[in-house]
Amino acid sequence: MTIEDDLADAMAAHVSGVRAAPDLGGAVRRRHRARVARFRAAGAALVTAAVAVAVPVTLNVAVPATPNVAGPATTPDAAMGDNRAVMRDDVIVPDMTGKDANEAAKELRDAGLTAVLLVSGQDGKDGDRPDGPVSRQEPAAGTVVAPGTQVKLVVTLTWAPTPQALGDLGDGREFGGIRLTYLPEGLEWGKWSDSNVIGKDKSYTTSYRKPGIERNAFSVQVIVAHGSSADRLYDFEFKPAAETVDIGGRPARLSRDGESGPAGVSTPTIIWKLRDDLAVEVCLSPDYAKEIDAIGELKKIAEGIRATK
Amino acid sequence: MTGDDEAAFDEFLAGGSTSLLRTAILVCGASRHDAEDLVQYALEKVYRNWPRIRHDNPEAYAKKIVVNAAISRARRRKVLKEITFSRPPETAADSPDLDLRDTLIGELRRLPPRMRAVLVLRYWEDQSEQATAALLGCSVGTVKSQAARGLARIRENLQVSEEVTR
Repeated sequence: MTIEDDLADAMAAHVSGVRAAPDLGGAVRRRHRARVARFRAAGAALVTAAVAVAVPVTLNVAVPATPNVAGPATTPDAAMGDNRAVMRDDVIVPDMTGKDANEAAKELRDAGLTAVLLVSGQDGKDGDRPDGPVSRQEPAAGTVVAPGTQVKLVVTLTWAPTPQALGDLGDGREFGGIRLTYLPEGLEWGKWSDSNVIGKDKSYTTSYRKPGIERNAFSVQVIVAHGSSADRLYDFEFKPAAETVDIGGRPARLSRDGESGPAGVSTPTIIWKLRDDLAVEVCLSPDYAKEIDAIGELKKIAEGIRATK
Repeated sequence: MTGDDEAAFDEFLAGGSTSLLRTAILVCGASRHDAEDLVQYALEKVYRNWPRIRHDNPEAYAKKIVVNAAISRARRRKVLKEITFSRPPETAADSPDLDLRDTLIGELRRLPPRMRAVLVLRYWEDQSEQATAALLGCSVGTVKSQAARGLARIRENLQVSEEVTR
C-alpha cells in the first residue's frame, strides 16, 4: 500500500464510529435562536476556554539545595525526580497583566507555574485569534502559590472588523424606526450596529456601553424587528420561562435570563411589540446587570422606547 | 423559512451531517465534542441562509464552512498550544505498540491545519484537486504542493520513529 492508501485507511478507521447526533437539527435551530440574542452578549463573559495542559514542574528556580546535601539520612532516591519538586519553595505569582500572551505564558512556565489562556469574547469568526496583552490574571500578582499552580490569563481576541451596518448613529438613540428616550446614566452609544439579524424582514440592533469596559463588550443591547421578523423576535422562547409585564399598555415578556448562558451568568431581557409589526428586545449584559437594579432599569428603558415611524 | 424549507433542511441534515462531522474531526484534529460544536456552528450558518442556498449545492457550502472553520479553529488551538503546552520533554515519543493507523493519525494531527485539510479532502474524501482548491479557496497548485509536502512530512516522521524504536 502507498502512504496515501494507508492514510486514507487510517482516517476512515479513525472516524468510522462517528455518527451525527439524531437531535442535531434541534441543536442547530436552538443555536440559531440563541445567536440572535447573543451577537454581542458574550462581551465580558469568557466563552472560549482554552484547554489546559499541565507543564511539568522540572524547574530549578527555587530548589533550595542540590541533591545529597540534606545529610546522611537522605537516601539517594529521595533527592531525585518528583521528590525534588515537593521540596521546592512556594512561588510568588508575577504580574502578567499588560504583557504579551506569548511572553506571559513563557515567563510563568519559567517560574514553575502553569499558564492557561482564556479567550475573552464572543464566538470566534474566521480569522480571529487570541492576541495582544493579558487583560486579567488569576490568581493576582503577589499571591503565594504552590509550584505548578495554574495561572489563568485572560486574553482578548483580535476581531474581524466590527459590523457597522447603520453607520454613524450620533448618540445612537434613534435607529431602526425607534427612539430611546431613556437610558441609565453613564452609558454611551457602543459605536456598533448590525442589520438583518433575525428573520426575513428588516431588523436592526445596536448597543450601549459604559465607557472603559472591554472593547467589544456591551452594557445594553437593543434589537428591533419589523414585519414577519417582529414575530420571530417576539416568539423567542425563554428558558426559564418569562414573566409577563405591562409596557405602555402592551404585554411584554421579561426574563431574568434571556439566554441560558453559563451557570451564574444571566442576561436580563425584555421583549414586546410596540406595534403589531414592530417588536423590540432589550437586554443587559451579565456584568452590567449586577451593577444596577437590572429589572427596574430594563423596564424603564423599555417604557422609554417610542416608534419613530 | 417555510415549512417546506424546514423539511428540506432536515433532509439535508439526515443525508450529510455525519460526513460533515467526520470531516470536522479529521481536519481540526480535535475531540469529537469540539467537532460537534464546529459542525453546529457551520450548520447554523447554513440554516440562516437556507432559503437562499438550498437549491445551490448546500453540501458544498456547508463543507466549505466546516473545513475553513476547522482550519481557523485548529490554528487558534495551535497558537494556544505553542504558547502553553509544548510537549513535556520527558514524555516518550509515541510508544512503539501503537499501530500504524494511530501513528498516522498522530502525524496527521501534527501537520499545519491547512496541510491537514488538504490531505483529508484529497485522500479521505477523495475530492479532486480542483474541488479541494475550491473548498479551501486556494489554487490547484497550492493543493498539489501542500498534499505532496504533507505526505512527505508524514513519511519522514514515520521513518524517524521506526528508526528510533528499532
